[in-house]
Amino acid sequence: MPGLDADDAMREELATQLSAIARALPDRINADPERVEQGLARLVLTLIEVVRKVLEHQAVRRMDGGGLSAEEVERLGLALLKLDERMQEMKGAFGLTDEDLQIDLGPLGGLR
Amino acid sequence: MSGEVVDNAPLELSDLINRVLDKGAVIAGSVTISVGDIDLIQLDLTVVLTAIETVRSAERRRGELQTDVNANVPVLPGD
Amino acid sequence: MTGVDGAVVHAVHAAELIAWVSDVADTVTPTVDRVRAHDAVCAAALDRGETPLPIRFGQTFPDDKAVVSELAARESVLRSRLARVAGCVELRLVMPPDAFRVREEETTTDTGTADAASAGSDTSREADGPGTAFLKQLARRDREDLARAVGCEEVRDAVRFAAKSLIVGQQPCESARGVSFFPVLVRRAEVEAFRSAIAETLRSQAIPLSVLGPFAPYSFAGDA
Repeated sequence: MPGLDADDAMREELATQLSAIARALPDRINADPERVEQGLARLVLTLIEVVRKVLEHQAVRRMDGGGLSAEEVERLGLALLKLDERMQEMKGAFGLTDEDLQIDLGPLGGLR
Repeated sequence: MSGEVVDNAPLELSDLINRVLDKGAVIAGSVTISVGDIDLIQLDLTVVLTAIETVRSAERRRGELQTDVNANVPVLPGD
Repeated sequence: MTGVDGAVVHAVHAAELIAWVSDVADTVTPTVDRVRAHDAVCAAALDRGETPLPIRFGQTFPDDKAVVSELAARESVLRSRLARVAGCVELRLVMPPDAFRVREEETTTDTGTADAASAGSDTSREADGPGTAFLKQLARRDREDLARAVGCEEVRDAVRFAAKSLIVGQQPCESARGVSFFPVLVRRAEVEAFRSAIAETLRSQAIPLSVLGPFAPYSFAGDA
C-alpha cells in the first residue's frame, strides 16, 4: 500500500518536527504589543517553513521511490519551487534575512 | 590542520552560532527568549531531518524487499 | 569589558562562585552581534587562566539578587561541572559545507527512475523542467547532508583512536547550518599535543576537517 505508507511517513515526520518546535518554544513570552506582532510573524513563518521542509522532504522521497511519472514530478517540483520563491519574498518583507552577511539565524534561511 | 582553506570566515561564523546557541549551562529553570527565537528550532530540525533520513532509508530498503517478493506471486483468474 | 548590546559586565558573587553578568532588555533575541558579544565574554574569562562554565545564551534574571539566589541553590551542581572542565578547553573539528559533492551518476542510480540503458549517462532524454530540477537539487542536498554526517562520524572514530588519552571528553557529531562537526575537551596544556597527534589522521581523510579553537567549553557545560 504505497499511498498509505507515504501518508504515514509524512504524518510521522510532521509530528516529529512539530514536537521539536514545541520543545523550543519559550516558557515565557514577551507580551509587549509592539514586539508581539513581529514575534508572531516570525513564528508563523517558522511554522510554514517547517511544514514546507517536510513537504519537500516527502516529495524527494516520492521522486526517488520511482512512483511518480515525469509529469507528476515536474508538477510537484513546480509547486514547491513556487512556494519556495514566495517564502523568500515573505522573509524579505519581514526583514528576516541578514543580507549583509548573507546568513540567516533560523530555519527561514540558513548557511549552505 | 587542514591545508588550503581560502576563506574561513563563513565557516567560523556558522561555527560560532552552532557553538554558542543552545549550548552552555542552564541555571534558572527556564530560558526566556523572545517569541520567534528560531535558532533553537533550526538546530532541532536539522538533527531530526538527518535522523529521519537514516531511519527511512533502512525502512525503504526493507519495504522494497517485501515488494519484490509480492511481485512474484502469480495473479489468479477472478482475482 | 562589555557584553551583549554593549552593556558593562560586572561580577556577582554567590558562595564560592563568581558569575559575570550584564544588563539586558527584558528578553534577548539572538543576533550575530549578540552571540559574538556573549562569546567574547566567555573567551575573556577563558583567557584569564581559569576555565569558565559558559552559560546558555539568553539566560536572564530579574536582578543581581536573583542571580545570587539561583547560583546558591545550584552551587554543588555548578561546582562539579566546573570541576569537570577545569584546566580544559574545547576544540571543534568542523567539516566545511562544500565537503561533499554527489556525482551525477550516483544521483541517477539512487533515484531508480533511470532504466538500465541510460544508467551512467549524465543527461536525461529531455532537459529537466524547472520543477524537476528543483526537486533534484533538493535530493542532492539531502544526500550531501547525510553523507556529511556519516563521514563526520568516521573521522571522529579515527581521531579518537589517534588522540587516545589526550581526549578528556567528546560529543557525538552534529550537523547544523550546513556544517558537520564534533567538539572535544582537551587539557589546556595538551592542545598542541592533540593537534600533532591527529594531524596525520586528518591529512589522510577524504574530507578535510578544520580544527577550531580553543574555546570555552560550551558543549561540555551540561544541559546540552
